[in-house]
Amino acid sequence: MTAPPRSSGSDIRAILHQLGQPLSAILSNAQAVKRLLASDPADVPEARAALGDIIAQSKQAAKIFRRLEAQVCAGPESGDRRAES
Amino acid sequence: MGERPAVIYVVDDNVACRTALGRLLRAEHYLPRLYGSGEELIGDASAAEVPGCLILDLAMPGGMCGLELLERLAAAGRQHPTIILTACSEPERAFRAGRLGACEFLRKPISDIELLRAIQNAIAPSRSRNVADARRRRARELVRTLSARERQTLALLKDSRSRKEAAIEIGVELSTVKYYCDNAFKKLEVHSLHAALDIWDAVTDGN
Repeated sequence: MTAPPRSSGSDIRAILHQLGQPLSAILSNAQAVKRLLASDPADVPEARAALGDIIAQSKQAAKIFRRLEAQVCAGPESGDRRAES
Repeated sequence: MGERPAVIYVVDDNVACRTALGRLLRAEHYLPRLYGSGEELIGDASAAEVPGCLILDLAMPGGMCGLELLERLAAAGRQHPTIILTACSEPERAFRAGRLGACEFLRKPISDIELLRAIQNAIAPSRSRNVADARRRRARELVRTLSARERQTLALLKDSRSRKEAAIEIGVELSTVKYYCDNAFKKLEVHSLHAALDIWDAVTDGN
């Protein structure tokens, strides 16, 4: 039986980079919402669109996070334990 | 006259990120123009004409990278004050970007306050330069309407000569010098010698 492939540092870096994008979009959208609603008159349609993007990007971030989790759990540490046993 | 909103060019291959930045900038009364790649910005001829600030994501794996875009813009004489966004710290690339005119580096995710401050810093020098240029142009137009005698009078008064000394130098009556001054003030749209010499300086210093 072959062990699951070990994730290299560069794999994890690539996933981390992917995770940064939705987090960036979430933060900028949330900060935009605050300003859109504070302006006079408040730009409600644009704020609503930003909230829609925040939801979509949060889901995207969660998906990438789960992938990262799977990589780390199959990562070098658990691999080493397998080799020892 | 109020200042026109500044144009901000946003180049980011991630559509969610650039859309969000566009919203943030519009909420702050900037005029964002969004591009998904360096190629898109290079291809937009109108972007060459309108001065503005560039916000650039350095890491764009799909096509032209941020550094390459900066190089191509510099080669085409299309340098904008540039704010670089990076996902991780990349000192070497940041150094190269700095040499290509980047004036600020912000790490993603960026805070709105930091971004807006960076934009203000980036566009402030070109704004004050624009104001100074406009003032000098206007001064030149006004000075062009002066007669040779009026110019001569202002030049003498500029040399801290009194009106009386100026009259002797030119070889006319004091009342004539006063007449030249009044005419010059009217043409320069000012009410004092001090203000007239300010305009005179703006033109002669530029030469």
